[in-house]
Order: sequence, then structure tokens, then C-alpha cells
Amino acid sequence: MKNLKSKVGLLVFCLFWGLGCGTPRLQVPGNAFEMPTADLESGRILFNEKCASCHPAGRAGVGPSIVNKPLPKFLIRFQVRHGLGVMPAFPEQILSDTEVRQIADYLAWLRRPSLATVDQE
Amino acid sequence: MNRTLRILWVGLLACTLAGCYRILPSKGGGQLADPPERRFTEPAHVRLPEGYRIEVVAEGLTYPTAITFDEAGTPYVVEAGYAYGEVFLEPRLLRIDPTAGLMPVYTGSRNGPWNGVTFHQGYFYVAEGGQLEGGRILRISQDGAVEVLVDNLPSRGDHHTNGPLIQNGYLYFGQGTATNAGVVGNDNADYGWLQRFPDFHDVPCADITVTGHNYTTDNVLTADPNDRAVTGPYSPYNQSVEAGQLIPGAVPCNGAILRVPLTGGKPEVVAWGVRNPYGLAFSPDGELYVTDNLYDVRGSRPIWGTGDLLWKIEAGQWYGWPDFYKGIPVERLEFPGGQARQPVLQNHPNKPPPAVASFGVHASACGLDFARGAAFGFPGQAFVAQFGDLAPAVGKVLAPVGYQIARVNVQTGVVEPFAINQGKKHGPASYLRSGGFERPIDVQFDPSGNALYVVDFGTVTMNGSKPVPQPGTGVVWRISREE
Repeated sequence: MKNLKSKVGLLVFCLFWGLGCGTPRLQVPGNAFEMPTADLESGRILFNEKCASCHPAGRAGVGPSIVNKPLPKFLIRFQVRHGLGVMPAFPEQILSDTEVRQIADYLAWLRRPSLATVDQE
Repeated sequence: MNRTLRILWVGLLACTLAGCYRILPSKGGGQLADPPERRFTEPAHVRLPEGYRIEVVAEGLTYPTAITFDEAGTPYVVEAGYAYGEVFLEPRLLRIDPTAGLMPVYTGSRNGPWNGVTFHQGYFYVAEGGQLEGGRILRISQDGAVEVLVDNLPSRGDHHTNGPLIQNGYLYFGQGTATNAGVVGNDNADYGWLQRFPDFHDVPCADITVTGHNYTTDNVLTADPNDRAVTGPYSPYNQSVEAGQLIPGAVPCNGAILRVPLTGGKPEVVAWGVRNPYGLAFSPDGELYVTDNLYDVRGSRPIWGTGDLLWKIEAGQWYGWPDFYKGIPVERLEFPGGQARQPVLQNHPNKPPPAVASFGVHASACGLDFARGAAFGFPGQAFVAQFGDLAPAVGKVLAPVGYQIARVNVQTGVVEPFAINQGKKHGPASYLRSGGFERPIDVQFDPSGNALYVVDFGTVTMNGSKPVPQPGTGVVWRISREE
């Protein structure tokens, strides 16, 4: 039974990934919204400092879009810490565990369904 | 089982992403197989924050680059007279008359691009890019008489003379670098200037000592296909350097913020070690901020993955070009499929200061201005016009980058889109087949502070690595609060 669940989970993940059917979400431009928590505000600042050059506003640029895929937070944290492909790793000397978590939380917050959205590549 | 599942997920993700960048083709906003035959404008195709509106003020311009306002608040726009792709025209200063339309004030010689204009006490001050005769600062009266305030600026290369800006009796301007990363290479022949000026190269603002790294390429200036050129940094094409060699500094120099008294005189260095300091603006609290177009992936010393930056300028500082990006030494930067770059300077003048904010890689952060009061909103925040990528000439992108007006909180470095094209995808209007922005290149608030004017250069597509600018497609937009 567990095997079946795992297979189904993987299949669903592959389908989402392959078809790109994660909902693209970006905030309406110019909204001067306050982040609901200090942690999310820290995540937003860190994202802009460390990530946005390659993923401007979370969209694709030199790197792929990271706001239109249903990546779990642990995978975001893993990728930030270890790098992947051409993406550099961000070791602890550059980003602490807390900071990596704040970035992952901010990206998850950007994707939340209640946020007003603009479809973006 | 949970652990196994996690490992499988990570493995799957790794397989999916690892080859992504190398495998996928470049997809820049100008890489159109079938560009639209003509441009149309539709303000509703630009997405703005709630409570703002946008309208077209002028259109049909050819390569407009900057806007300013006289004492009555009348807008004036400059047409560059030069565009990448080796297009040479006559630059113009035009009044945007609310009834008569575009009225020429002054027409310059073929020494563009005119990259900036500001109005001060009855005169227009223009940054003349100087692709053919060197950069100049021109002072033009309202009846069209002109005098040269500064000339012989080192602008015959990749980047030109930018700005200008006036404060406390001084005129500030930016002087771009001749090259991408300090070394004249065959990319400069692609730009077109190496054949015209084979001895042209970057000049440092102060004496420097080089590490002795030289770069070998085919020699494109000779007919022999086996001929090689060996070129060192801050040197003419095919002239090498030795370790420990002193390169003398001089002023005017490349990659610098310079200033000159409004009464005339020699330029002096405010700061250096920037690459292409395009947009200059003083914040409401009197600090000088500059947008800087960072490295491209081209030439003898390509550097990958460096987003454009916003600097707060501290007098006397060196900002890191050509050996740093945002305080990170080039030898520590990733370079997909290639070796890390080596520094070309043996000693660095100082530790580069931190950047205020960073923009997308190849976004081409250009014109800059600050909101000054509550009338428009976002007081104290910076607005930046992003011209958009010129991929693949500058490097590969997976999707169009730039093509918007960004808002920057200079306290936190957070950059948010302020005005951006509507659509399921992101890119210039020609890419989206819409009536929105093509390539925003300047933003300026009018003297009241109530409206933000956006200068849109117009359509630039790419034919392979060669830019193809479309004349007559430039637009001036106006953004204001809804009443």
C-alpha cells in the first residue's frame, strides 16, 4: 500500500513538473504590501539580494521561473544549500539555515492561491 | 519509505534541472522569428498598481532615450541619433507641444548616442555619446544655440557618455567602459568600433598594476586567418601586458562618475570601477544613485550571471569593475562550461562598497528617478526603466528579462515590478503581440512630482547577435494617479 502511495506521489509530481501545471503567481505590480511577518520580510529581502538576479521577481531569466512550480519547501532549501546545474550553492557562510528557511517561506508565500496574480512565464 | 521517497524526489529534481540551462535555447525578448510589421500602442496593455493610469504622450519617435522639463513643466525628449546595430542618424532635441506635437529645438551631428538630457536655468545639457568623435557634454539654449562644455570623452567603444545631472554648481555624468570586462576583443569588432578605432581601449582613473593575464584570439584586423591577437587589459587590441606592469591613470577615464563645474573646466573623478553607469539621480536626501549595466557573456573575458546594479555613490570609491561583481571576486563566480575568470588587477584600490539593489541579469537597468512626495506615492523610492535583454549577443536567457519599470526600496534593496506588460508571458510588446512597452529606457518625474514619464526606445529585435532597431517606434508614456 505504501509502495502504491509513493508511486502515485511520484507520478503526480512528474505530471505537475512535466506539464508545467503549477499555477504561475506574481503579485500585482507596485502593490506596496507589507509582509505579514518579519520572517517573510527577511525572506523577501534575502531573495532580492541573493536570488532575484537570475529569477527576477521569481520569473525566469538566466534561471528558470521558481514561482510557477509546486516545489516543496524542503527541495527549495536543498537546492539553495547545494546548488544544482548552473545554480551556485549557498553555503552556511553565505546563508544561515534560518535565512534559507526564510527564502523558502517567502517563495511559498508568493505562490499562495489567495495572492492576486499575474500569469508569467 | 519516506526517506526513499525523498531521495527519489531529489534525484528527479536534479535530473530535471541540472541540464536545464545548457540544453535550452536562448529566449530573449528580441529573438523574434517574425516580428510585427508595425508598432501599436494600447495603454490598457500595461499593468499598473491599482489607482494608477497610463497614457501615450508622444509616439513615432526614432530611438528616444531621455526626457526633461523646462521651468513651465513642458516636456522635451531627445532622440539618440545612434543605436546598437551601427545605425547612425542625427540626434535631436524635441519639445513635446500639447497641441503642435513634436517641435525640433536642436539637431546634432552624427556623434550619438545622445543618452541623457537635463534642463537647468534656461539651458538644456545633453550627454552626447560620442561613438564617432568622442563624448561631449553640450549646453543648448532654448532657441537652439549650442556650446560644448566638455569634449574628448573616451566614448568610442561599447558604452558612452551618460547622465547628465546638475547639483550645487556641478554637472555630473557617467562615462561607460570601452569593453565588457577590460579587454578589447573580437566582440568589439562585432559592435563595429574596433575597425574604426583599433587603438581604443579602457583608461583607468588612477594608476593600476596588472597581473599579466593576456587573452589570445583570432586577429580580426588582418586578412591572414592564422594570425592571432594577444591582448592585455587596459591595452589596445593585440598589445599584451606583463605581470606587474603599471598602467597609468588619466582623467577623463572609463567606467566612472565624473563631474565638471557648470562654468566649465576639467572633469574630475567622483567614483570609478563601474561598468556602464547609465542612470544618475539624487535621492530626496541628496545622495547620488547610479544604475550600472554589469558584465555580458561575450568577448575575450566573458563573465556570467551578473545582474545590473543600483549603487549609492560614495566619493572617491572604486566599485569593483573589472575584477568584482557586487563585492564578489570574479574568480569566485560561476561560469557554466568554462573556467573561472582571473583578476586582471594586482592590487585593488579599495574593497568595493555594497550595492543598494540588484536587477535581473541582462535586464539593462537604465534611467532612474526618485518619487519625492506623497502625490504620486512611494516617496523616497527609486523607479528604474529596464530596457530589456539583447540576448543572445549579451548572453543566454531562458525568458525575456527587463522591459518594465521597477520600483526599488533603497532602504531594503527590494525590487518590485511597478509597470509591466499584461499577458500570460513576460516580454516586450512585439514579443507579446500587444500594445504595451517595448524597451523603457528613461523615467523622470515631472516638476510637480505628480506624473512619471516613461521614455520607450521602441522595438529592437535581434538578427542572430546583431540588434535591429526599428525607427519611428519610440513612445513617451505618462503614468499618474487616477483622480
